[in-house]
Amino acid sequence: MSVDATLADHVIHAIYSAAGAPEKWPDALQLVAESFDGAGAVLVFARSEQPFAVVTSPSLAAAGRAFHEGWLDRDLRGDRTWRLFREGQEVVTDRHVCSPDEIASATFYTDFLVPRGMGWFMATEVSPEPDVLVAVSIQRAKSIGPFTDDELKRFPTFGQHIEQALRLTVQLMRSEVVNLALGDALNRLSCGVVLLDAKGRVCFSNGCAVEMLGSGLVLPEGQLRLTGANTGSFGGMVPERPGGPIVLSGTTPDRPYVAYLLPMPGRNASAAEDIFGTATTMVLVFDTAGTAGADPTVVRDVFGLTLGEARIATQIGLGMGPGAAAQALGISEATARTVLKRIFSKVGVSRQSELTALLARLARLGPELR
Amino acid sequence: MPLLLPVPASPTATDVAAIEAIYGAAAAPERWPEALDRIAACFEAEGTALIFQRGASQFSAIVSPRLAEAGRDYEAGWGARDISAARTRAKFNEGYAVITERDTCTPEEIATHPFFTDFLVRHGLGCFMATEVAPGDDMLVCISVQRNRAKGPFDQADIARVVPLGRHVEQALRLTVRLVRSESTSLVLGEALSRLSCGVVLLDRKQRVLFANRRAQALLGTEFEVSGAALASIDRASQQQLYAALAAPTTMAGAPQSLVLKSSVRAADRSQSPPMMVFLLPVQPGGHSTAADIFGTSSTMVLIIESSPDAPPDAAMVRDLLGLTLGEARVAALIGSGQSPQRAAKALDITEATARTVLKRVFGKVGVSRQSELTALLARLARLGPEPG
Repeated sequence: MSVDATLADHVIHAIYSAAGAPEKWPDALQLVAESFDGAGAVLVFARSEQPFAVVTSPSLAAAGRAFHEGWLDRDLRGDRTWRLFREGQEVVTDRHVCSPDEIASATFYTDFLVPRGMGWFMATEVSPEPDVLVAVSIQRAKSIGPFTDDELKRFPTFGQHIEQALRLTVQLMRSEVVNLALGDALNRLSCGVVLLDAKGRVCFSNGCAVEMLGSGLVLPEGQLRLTGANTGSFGGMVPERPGGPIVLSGTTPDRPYVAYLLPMPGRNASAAEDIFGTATTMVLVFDTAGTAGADPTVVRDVFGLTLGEARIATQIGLGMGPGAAAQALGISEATARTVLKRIFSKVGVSRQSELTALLARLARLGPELR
Repeated sequence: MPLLLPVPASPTATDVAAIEAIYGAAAAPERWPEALDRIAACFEAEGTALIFQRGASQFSAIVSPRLAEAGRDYEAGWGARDISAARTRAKFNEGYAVITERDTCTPEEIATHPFFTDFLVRHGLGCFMATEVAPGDDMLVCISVQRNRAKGPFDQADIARVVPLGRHVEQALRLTVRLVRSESTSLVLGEALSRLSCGVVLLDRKQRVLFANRRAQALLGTEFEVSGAALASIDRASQQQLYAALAAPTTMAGAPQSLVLKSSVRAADRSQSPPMMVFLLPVQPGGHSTAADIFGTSSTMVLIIESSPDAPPDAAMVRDLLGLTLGEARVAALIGSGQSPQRAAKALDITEATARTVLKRVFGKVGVSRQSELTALLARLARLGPEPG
């Protein structure tokens, strides 16, 4: 008993180590299987009882491939097992789903399972949430004999740990996917973002920030540093003064970058964040070089203009006067002024700079949002 | 003399309950006190404290409910008189796995020192056993089990049993740290988008809302609603458009679908607010794609950009960006957001003539010659909107 219990402790540890690193599931499954004299174990993921993914312990990798390549249709146990789970049964083994005759002579047993060192199974459901059905099964060699009542009784405890570990995996992945998506949203707004922890180490950055590195901002050894002309005022350190913009002298003088340092913006850290440590500073970096302005088709759609009107509006949005706008578009200034008057009344503004301000948000959309 | 490396003990039923509670707390940090109580129960102890050390002198602690009062007293002053803490740390550094009060204090100190006789005994404690774990990132955590003096000191069997429990605590804390940091990163990035006047909503495979930033939440109720956990537009025609776009299969990898949605908000004069640009983007997690697919975490991101003008930027920010005085920056911020000199002067309580004089100086300093040129320049430079609140 004491050896069993120590082993159980070891298995539980392995199960939760897979929670944060899904690639560790095969080895964790192997340990679960071994603690029941099994040859290996399998995690099956299903939607509407249709399996769509499988993780097997290393020892069953070849058998798993053979199953999907030729035995899936002849599996006697899968559908019947899901049905029993649906009816509320906690653990399912061979005798619950197959007749003694089938176990003794069905080709699924005699030609698929037994030659591959299997023959008996027990399975329990470990679905972390209602959407995704997950079952774990242990496969054991025919020669060892069927799973005993005691083993069927002990198995669900492991199942509960697997379920909890899967729940942790889902929660972690969901949160990490959200972060990737938000980093990407900032990329598309041409905004570089770098998050620093209390020690000034980078704990998150998006692609746009990485592209802008080297131009006034560098990341030696995971630390954010200022370079070039910017080093003077801050000695190379990223200043702690929060909020204010730092105009970074980039590699080319006509493309200055502006960086903003924000201390955990807009929120108070929770007690858990205080203890477990989180990003303490956010650095946002923008390329302030002049853009081509808003996309005229977007301006047309948003403000209900014609394309011709939208083209002139876009030029005014860049800060040009009607004369320059007319010249850029190859029309007469008089025409430009007439059209501009119509734009003013359609959009509901009365001054050129008001129109420029109104188009500012559309002008700032990155090239990937056009 | 305790063993340097205790022989691992086998878990009992109470240990199993504690292990379950420990991993239950991994994803829900507010459940740590309860899990710590379960650890105490394995040793018929009064409670357990998790003491976090970051750097040389930064400590914080989570304690089980029955230790809450003692914890407050400790923080309020007794901590400074704790004769055992520094010695415990020294013993850990010498390689000891588990430390009790008998390893750090003399029998005389235990019998007469006020930290024991006044503080610990008054709170029904007196004996402790501590082990150290390291969940990563320079974080050291001491797990300290506290027991009533009358129940006697912890013995070798207790010491051997606390070590495997400590390993589970370490692994669960590692998950907690990752989750808390990741969720906090989401909030920070969401806030960055809010400051850029961009609403963002993330939908899961079933189009349920996983995340919405402050800006998007502000639009919920007026422009959008969450109907049965799914995102919906309040304007009926826009709703049709949004549903059709969400239902459309993504054609090109990473290519956004864009829609212009009519606003459902009407201003006081019954004129309709300008429409919103809405972009739908597939979220494709890079490395984890198979796992993300298994767990249904792939999703759609909705970016919402209102076509109303930005609020005037912060004057101090304009000062720093354009190298102006604060007074010049105040004028530049208002006129640079589309206001007339007359209106800006009124808002700043100066004469229009003064506003025009200051504006001329601003033009000279930044090298522009028209108000709309100043507006376009500020729009490029002053990207951050105001802080919330």
